[in-house]
Amino acid sequence: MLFTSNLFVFLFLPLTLGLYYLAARRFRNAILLALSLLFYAWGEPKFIAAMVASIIFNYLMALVVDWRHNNGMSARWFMYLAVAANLAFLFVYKYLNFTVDILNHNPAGFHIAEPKITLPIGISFFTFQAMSYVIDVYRQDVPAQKKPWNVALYVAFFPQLIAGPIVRYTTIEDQINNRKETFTDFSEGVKRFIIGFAKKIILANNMALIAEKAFAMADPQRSVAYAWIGAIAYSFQILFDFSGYSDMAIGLGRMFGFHFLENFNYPYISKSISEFWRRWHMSLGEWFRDYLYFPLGGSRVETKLLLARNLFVVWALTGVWHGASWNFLVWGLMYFGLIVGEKLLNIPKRFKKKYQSALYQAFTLLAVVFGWVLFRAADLPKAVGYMGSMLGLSGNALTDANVVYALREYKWFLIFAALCSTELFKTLPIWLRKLDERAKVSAWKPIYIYIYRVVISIFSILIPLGLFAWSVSFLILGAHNPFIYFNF
Amino acid sequence: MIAVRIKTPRPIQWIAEATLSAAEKAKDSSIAAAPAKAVAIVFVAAIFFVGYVTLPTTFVNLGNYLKDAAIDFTKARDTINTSYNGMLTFTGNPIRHKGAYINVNGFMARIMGQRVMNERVVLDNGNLEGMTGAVSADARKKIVNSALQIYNAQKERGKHYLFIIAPHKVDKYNPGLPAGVTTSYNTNWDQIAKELTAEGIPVLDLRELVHNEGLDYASLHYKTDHHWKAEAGFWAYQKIIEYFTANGAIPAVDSLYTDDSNFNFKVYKDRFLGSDGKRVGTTYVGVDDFTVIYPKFDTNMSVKITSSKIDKAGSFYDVALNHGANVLNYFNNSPYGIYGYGDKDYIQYRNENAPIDLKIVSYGDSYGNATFTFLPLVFKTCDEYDFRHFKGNFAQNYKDYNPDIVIGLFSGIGDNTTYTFFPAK
Repeated sequence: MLFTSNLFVFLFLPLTLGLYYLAARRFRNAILLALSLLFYAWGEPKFIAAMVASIIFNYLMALVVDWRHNNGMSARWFMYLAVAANLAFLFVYKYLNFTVDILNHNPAGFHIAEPKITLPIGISFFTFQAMSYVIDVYRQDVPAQKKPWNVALYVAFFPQLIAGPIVRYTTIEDQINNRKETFTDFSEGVKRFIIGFAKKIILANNMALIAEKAFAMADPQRSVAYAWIGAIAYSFQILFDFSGYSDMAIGLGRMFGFHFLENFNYPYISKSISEFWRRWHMSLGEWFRDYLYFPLGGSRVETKLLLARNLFVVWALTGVWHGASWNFLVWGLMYFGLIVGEKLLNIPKRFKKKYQSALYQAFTLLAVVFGWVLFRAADLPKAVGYMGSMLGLSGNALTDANVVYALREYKWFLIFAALCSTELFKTLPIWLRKLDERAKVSAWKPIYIYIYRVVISIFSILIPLGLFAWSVSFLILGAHNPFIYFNF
Repeated sequence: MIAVRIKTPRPIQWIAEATLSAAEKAKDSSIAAAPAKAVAIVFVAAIFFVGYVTLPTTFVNLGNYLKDAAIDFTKARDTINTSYNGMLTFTGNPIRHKGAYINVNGFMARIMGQRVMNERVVLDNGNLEGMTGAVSADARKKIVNSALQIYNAQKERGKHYLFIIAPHKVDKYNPGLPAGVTTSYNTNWDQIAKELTAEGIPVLDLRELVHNEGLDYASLHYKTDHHWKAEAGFWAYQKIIEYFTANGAIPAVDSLYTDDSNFNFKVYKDRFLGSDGKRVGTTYVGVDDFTVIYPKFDTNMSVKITSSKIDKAGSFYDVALNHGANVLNYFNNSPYGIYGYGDKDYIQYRNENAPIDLKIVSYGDSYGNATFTFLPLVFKTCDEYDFRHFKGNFAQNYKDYNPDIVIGLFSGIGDNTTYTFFPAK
């Protein structure tokens, strides 16, 4: 079930809210868990067994690890066993087809029958969550949870189940049993959900229309200008799709009293590649940092070669985490190369002049856009072909009617997408609040303050509701509404 | 005073100077949260209302869904997905206020200057149009062979046949399409016309007549519907009479029966949101006026539609026009159905007062409705077929009826353009 579907918004969500808030507190987690399992089963019921097995296994492993700690015994091998089993689980479902395919391309000519395993939706998210739970218990950051349904709720809670963010058990351990729902929180949650909903439906889905057309064209038919518009549109699509889902997850969590950490922080304003990855899919970056990069030694290693090794491992795995294909591996390694370059050359700190920083910021954005082409293309040759179109190397025209079409039909979406990629709409309310505060201590007549507040309040109500109505109108029209996390 | 403060040249410093006490800040914070709370209340009310109040069938079927789910979860899920999503889409009927959602989208598309919305394109003349893909040589051959069957049957009997191509909304001489949008509508029909003519089949290409007479495409079509206007259908009726008079198939017809001045053109303002408009709402390009055309002179005719149990006798106004369709309901009605009773399979018109005692068979798509309705004013016996819906035995009807003239009129290409008139036994 997708958040951006009629079924979720008008059937599942009201049902869940109704049952949750009408129930006594002691039943609320059970309701959330039951409905989360239903939410997951809606996509493909048979995968529920895989997820439940993962939950039970990790719950038991955490108990064993905790018990051994409490009895003065080493739990290291049990933690290793848990990690290995989780990775094996992920490997079978996500990478076995790919591995068999690689093995079948061998000079000896032997062939292994392809297992054709379907990827359970959200497996990378819930496996990483479950795995981090056992590791956190091993590290004694948190005690093991005694109640299996609490672990199940942590792993399977529907807001973050299929598209993140990757919530850490340490973040919500206390909230599972001791959270307090407030109307203020609920309202903020609704607002956040609407923002994410609008980002996904209004911006991402419309950008998808440009991008899909551009990526579907043959290289020589795709003009240089349209190739760029397509790549930029995809860059916006993936930002607003993914961050929109995160906003919806965070908002839904707040509606039920949970506070998840942020997952995106305006990544396209980053001044360097490293900064981009501190702003993009933060929960994944932090996961790899805490559970892989730091344990490998991080940047505090004796040689630059070791640093490069650590980064290589992290970025290769970051790449393939996004999907089992060469594109994702090369995409991850591209970032490995760029980040190693930044670390070795002390970029961007070495840039003292503004224009140097600005140029590097532009380079960062360009690298990200080219990276998304790698990410989006069906395979590596197609990615190379698309980049060739962008650079005018496919024997393609400079521009064509598709450019006129895209700019005419989607100019406002492109402009809004660009503006929403910056902190403008985050800063604006802060400025308005400060203006309001200033008015309180100034000699403004009360009537002006009142009028100012009424106007701001009206806009604060109408804008989110207008965005929601507009978004719903796209759903009613059955407009293009892709789900791009099948690989994750 | 406000203006002076707003003009302060150092806004950041000016704002930073502001200080409030903790109590004031707490109070302010509570005031600031009020709009978010209002949004939350409206949001929750809206999702409950749309999901559980405007869709009562959800609950009607809930028991069945749960029963199914106990046996087969996937089956129950698929049923719910299909029925629920079906209800909540613009083609679904049960959702109330459906038009309001579409209007929101249309309004936004309009203010953003979009020329394409929900698979409909705004032409330079303001009309909405859906785009058509190229038709294959095989498909064209089927169309030509279909027409050839009935043409040959008429020819063998020394009778007349005419294939009419009605103009759709894109003018082949001045398409008025926005950049980046293409349609094969006219090239398809150009090719078919050529192939029909090569077989000796008489073709009246109204697109050429429109061009030669300098008519304006915007005035020929409803901007929100895929049909031509009633006025254009009436014009086509005049052209058909002119055509058959000119080639000697019928004697000269008194202008009483064809001249505009002898007809009432009753215009209903802002009456019609056509099928294209239903996809984009009333806010995107607006709505259409609708004209009901009927003769000023006395008429006495009968209309029989067996499949709909209609058998009426009276004046043209009373029996040839389906006034039940002329209702203002933008998203759930089409007044175009006033003509030809809206795509009926088989209509039999009889008019004892008609000046020409010939038998006519007309067939085609819904463009024909606004034209064929007027033929009984001139011809005593007219049978109108819509082969998308007709399930009877045409070959037998044809033999029994023995038509003097057969007219096919098409704007679109579909099943009815490839109808097998005389299937092999």
